[in-house]
Amino acid sequence: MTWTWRRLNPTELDHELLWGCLVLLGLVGVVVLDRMAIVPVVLCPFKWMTGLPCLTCGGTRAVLALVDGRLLESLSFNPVVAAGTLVAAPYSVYALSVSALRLPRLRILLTDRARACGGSLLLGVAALWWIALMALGR
Amino acid sequence: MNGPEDPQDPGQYIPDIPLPIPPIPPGRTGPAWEQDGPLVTRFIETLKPALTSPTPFFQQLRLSGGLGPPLTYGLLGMIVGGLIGALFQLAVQGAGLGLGGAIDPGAAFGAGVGMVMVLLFVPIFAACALFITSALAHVALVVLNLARHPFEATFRVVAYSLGSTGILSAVPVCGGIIGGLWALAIAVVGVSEVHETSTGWALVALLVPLLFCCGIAGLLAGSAVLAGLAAAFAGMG
Repeated sequence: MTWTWRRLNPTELDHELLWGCLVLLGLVGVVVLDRMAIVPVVLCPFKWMTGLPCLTCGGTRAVLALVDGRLLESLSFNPVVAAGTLVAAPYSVYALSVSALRLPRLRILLTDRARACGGSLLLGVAALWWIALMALGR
Repeated sequence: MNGPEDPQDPGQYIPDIPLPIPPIPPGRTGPAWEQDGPLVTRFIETLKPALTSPTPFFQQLRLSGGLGPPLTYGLLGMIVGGLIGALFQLAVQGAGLGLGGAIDPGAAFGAGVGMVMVLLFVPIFAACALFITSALAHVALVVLNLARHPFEATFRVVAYSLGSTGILSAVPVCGGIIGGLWALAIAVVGVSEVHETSTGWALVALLVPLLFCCGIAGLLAGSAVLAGLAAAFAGMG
């Protein structure tokens, strides 16, 4: 594994600006919709088609609980989405900061083997989580 | 996760050196949308090959050059289709409002407010949909070890696919379903051509995100974080 802090090329995509804005938009949007009490009830197309839960089942409720400061309740709805949201907030601060201040950005180079191992690990965790959701009767 | 030169080295710091700008491959000149000419002509000249002959279309698709052109094309197709569909719905509602004789002012006001909300939010939702769909597809490609090019290449495939089929949303009732299936078919061809993989694997990579489809908020935040993390891994993003 190799990592570097480097500046962007003039033609290079500013990932930090793009994803930082999208995370911020998502979090602010959820807070605003929650405060206005107009969060839409979304019918999950995957569950509708297959009858099975999807991996982010309970995700909206987890984020809303987190916004209200109910951490344990959020984790009970969907710990993966709750943890993702907890990572999202500091990530957006980092991403928008380095983008606004034109600072060098973190870039990590993985070997093919490491990438394959990481992909397999992610797929394995996702499969286990899906089995757990079905076992819990979501 | 050790480096290739020293298997015991847990990591290596590289000083702040900008990467060289990659040249544009000679065969990939880009669609008509990215050439000069009148806007409507460029849109139609891009729409036709994208819908009817996606293989040569994606074989000549540029893999870099900025998100602007594919984003504007995708937004234009989705917005035009969405607005025509919304206008049709408003016309149907309007006809329904007038059926009873006198038009109910409250219902008419509600329909008008609904139309304004559509006008305001369709571009925002369309842009979010393009980025989220691309991010999930690219993360799936990375996890399945199928990504041969950075995120921008996947975004271009998704934007030209959804932009071309988004116009079908204007067709009442079944337009959305037909457009969705057509978009999937075109995107499968695009991913297989751009990332140099089989259509079967491209289909798997595009269907895997369906497992994550539930939860608007979690989807938005989660996919953005995943894409941001993937972007940090320079080989992928």
